[in-house]
Amino acid sequence: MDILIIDDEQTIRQSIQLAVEAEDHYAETADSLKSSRLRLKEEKFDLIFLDLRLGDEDGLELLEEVIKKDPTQLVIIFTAYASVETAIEATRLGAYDYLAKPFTPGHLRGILLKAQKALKNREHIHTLETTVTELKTQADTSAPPTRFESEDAMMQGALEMLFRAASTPASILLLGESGTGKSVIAKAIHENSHLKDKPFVTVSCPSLSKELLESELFGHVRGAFTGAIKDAWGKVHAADGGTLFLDEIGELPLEVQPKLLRLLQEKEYERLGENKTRSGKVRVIAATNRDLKHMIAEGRFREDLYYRINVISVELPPLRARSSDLMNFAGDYLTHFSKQIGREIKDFSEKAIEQIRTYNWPGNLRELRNAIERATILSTTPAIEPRDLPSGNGEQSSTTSHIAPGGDVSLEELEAEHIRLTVDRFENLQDAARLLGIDKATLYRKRKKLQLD
Amino acid sequence: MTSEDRNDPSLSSAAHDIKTPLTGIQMIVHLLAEQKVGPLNERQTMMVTQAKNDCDRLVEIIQRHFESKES
Repeated sequence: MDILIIDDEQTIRQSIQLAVEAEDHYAETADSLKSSRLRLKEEKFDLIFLDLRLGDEDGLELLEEVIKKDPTQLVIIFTAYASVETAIEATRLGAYDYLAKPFTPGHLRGILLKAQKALKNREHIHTLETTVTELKTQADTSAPPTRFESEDAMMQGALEMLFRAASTPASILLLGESGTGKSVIAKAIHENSHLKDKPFVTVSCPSLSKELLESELFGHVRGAFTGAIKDAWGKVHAADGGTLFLDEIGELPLEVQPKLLRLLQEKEYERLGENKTRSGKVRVIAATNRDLKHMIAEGRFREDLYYRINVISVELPPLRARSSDLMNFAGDYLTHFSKQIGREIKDFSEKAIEQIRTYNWPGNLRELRNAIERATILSTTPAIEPRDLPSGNGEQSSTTSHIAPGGDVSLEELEAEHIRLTVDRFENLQDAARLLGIDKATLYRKRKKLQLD
Repeated sequence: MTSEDRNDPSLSSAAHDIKTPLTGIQMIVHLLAEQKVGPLNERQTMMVTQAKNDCDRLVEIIQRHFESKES
């Protein structure tokens, strides 16, 4: 624990500090209300020992201020008036406990253990609250069951490597297009690891501004930025001892990257607006659909951070490359959604299967899931028909069904289809051009020539 | 000590003035005896243990004194 000892008597301050440090806690001292206020403004302490009388000053005055600022702050009062009345008064003002003078290191150890247990209970409650929130979110979104078996050789290899790495402390980088199930797999890695009983905390990198993301990760103290009205712990603290999942890490602002690197290398970080260095031990799983190597070349992602998170790197194949798994997923979703809405739809018609198989699913599993959910709602027959599937799905299947290498297709058609699908996968033409092995201007000309604009 | 006693400035001040330095002495003697500040040889251990016992006895006497004031 980080402890502040407030007493005007030097002997008491020093002896308590010594006793506390002998129990492997960190302790600082302050000899007046003024110096205490200054320290408390700068730092957050797990526990405060406060003398009821500091010369002419009243310790209860500071107790009231501290509790007003943070009602969960643990404060233990020293008092020379060991009466029930004093204890009740201090407790009424928010003190966690009191210690009657004179006391021994043994008394101090007893109260330290009690405070430590209270702190752990609070952290446990916080973890439970986080878990309940996550479970509620999962329940609200009514997620269908996740399939971790695959008939696709590439996916089998990816899953095998991931579950083998799960039980090690190694950082894992999940690569793959949007919707390939990176978040679900990250959670599965955690649940199959030695950290399964510890927290699993997700940080969605693109959803927040630089300042808010930094605060979300590392926490902040009151006044660190506009709107920081009270001290807050970040997700690194919430995930301590467990897994921190950094979703879409490619969107992590360049300014925040050194701080994440320091956490991974030194296991140290500071909250926003605070100088005190804290320790945080988390296993990191990161995911991205961006080409991080390309981002490094462009100076948008730190190379040292890349190598730090890329201890085990696995590329999850897109759904169009997992044709052997496609109908298994579709079947799982159909079972889930038909049960959820209370409909007896048990199968797909032959034509619907053909349509599902021939579509390219650029949105991957997420798109398939949404398509099957929609079809389950719209279907009026015991089996899903093509008309129940989204129109884009049907339209695209008609254009793509015959366009495949080795099929009855011209080179130009094949090229047009390949360019169209590649451009769909990326947010900008530059990334698509690079994958195609041509420059952006050539891609632009080809798209114009093939009428793909 | 009763609320009236606590409101009695002289008794309140006496309690604080005696118990506060006594806390420092008791803490330091106990820490020395527990060898939390470093190892002691046999002779030092014996002397510190005696000081600790005397200190504990003094604490008991003082506490009894203030308890009798309460009753």
